[in-house]
Amino acid sequence: MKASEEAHSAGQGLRADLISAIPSLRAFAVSICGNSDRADDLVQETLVKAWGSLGTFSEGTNLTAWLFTILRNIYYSEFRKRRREAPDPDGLIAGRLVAPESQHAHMDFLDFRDAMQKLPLDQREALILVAASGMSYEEAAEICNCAPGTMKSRVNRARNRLSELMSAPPTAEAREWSAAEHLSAATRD
Amino acid sequence: MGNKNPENIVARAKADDDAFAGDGRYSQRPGPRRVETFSGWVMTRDEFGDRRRGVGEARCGAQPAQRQRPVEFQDSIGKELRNLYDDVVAQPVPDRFLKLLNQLETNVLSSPATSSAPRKSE
Repeated sequence: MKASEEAHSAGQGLRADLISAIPSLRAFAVSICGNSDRADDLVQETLVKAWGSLGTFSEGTNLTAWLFTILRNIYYSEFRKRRREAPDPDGLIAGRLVAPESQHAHMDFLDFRDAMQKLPLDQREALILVAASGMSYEEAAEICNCAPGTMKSRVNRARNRLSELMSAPPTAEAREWSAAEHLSAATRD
Repeated sequence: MGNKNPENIVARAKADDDAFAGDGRYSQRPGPRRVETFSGWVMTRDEFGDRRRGVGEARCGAQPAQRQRPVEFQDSIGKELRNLYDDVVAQPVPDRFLKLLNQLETNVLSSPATSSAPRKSE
């Protein structure tokens, strides 16, 4: 009886912690995969996985960072799997992006998300973690299991690539070229 | 530092301190919805209804290695990235996740012998 009460109150605290981490987790997921539905599926998988491996979470450390790491691992393994199964899955997904949630003055929202999805995954996640979620290079590097210097150069490359993509409106040729690039990237491994 | 209104940073830092219980754990309190951002900052959307975000290392002070202030790009790319991200952070937690957590809890409580039971000691 006592044990189950303890489990109950621990569960309550944990539940609150998890709930407070969900908004960031969703934002990370949707930024990285560019699709709201898929993002929420990722979050769901992450929560289930996290709940099942709470024993490996060291208390006092950043729960959100831990959850980000889990989500990232799930996304990466799906990403690899999809690339094996169907070439250019992300190109297709980019084609049916979700409608913008709000209006932004400076850039066309879909263009921006489109451009984001064209970044290599390692650069995209670097940019999201550092420039969007507000992590330090060190924190982001820990999530991605790389050196802070690597993180920094990924962020810089991502920013350069993104501004290239944003400044040049994609022509039909450029789209085809990019699709071809996707295909060849998919068949490379 | 590039933030337009430095006072908000201070106010957020206070909100941050308020929102954390003595044991450093996030506490749910009534009132404006507080959102814990990655770096441990707490944003109060109702109070700071704009898109500026709390960025800082205050809550991560436990790790002295983090002397560097998290990066904030002030150009259009940086702003667009934060907008995209913060729009989602500001959304309420969908019901499906609350239901999921209920379900996970029920499963653990009904079978406390499983290794997936939470190990929190306090």
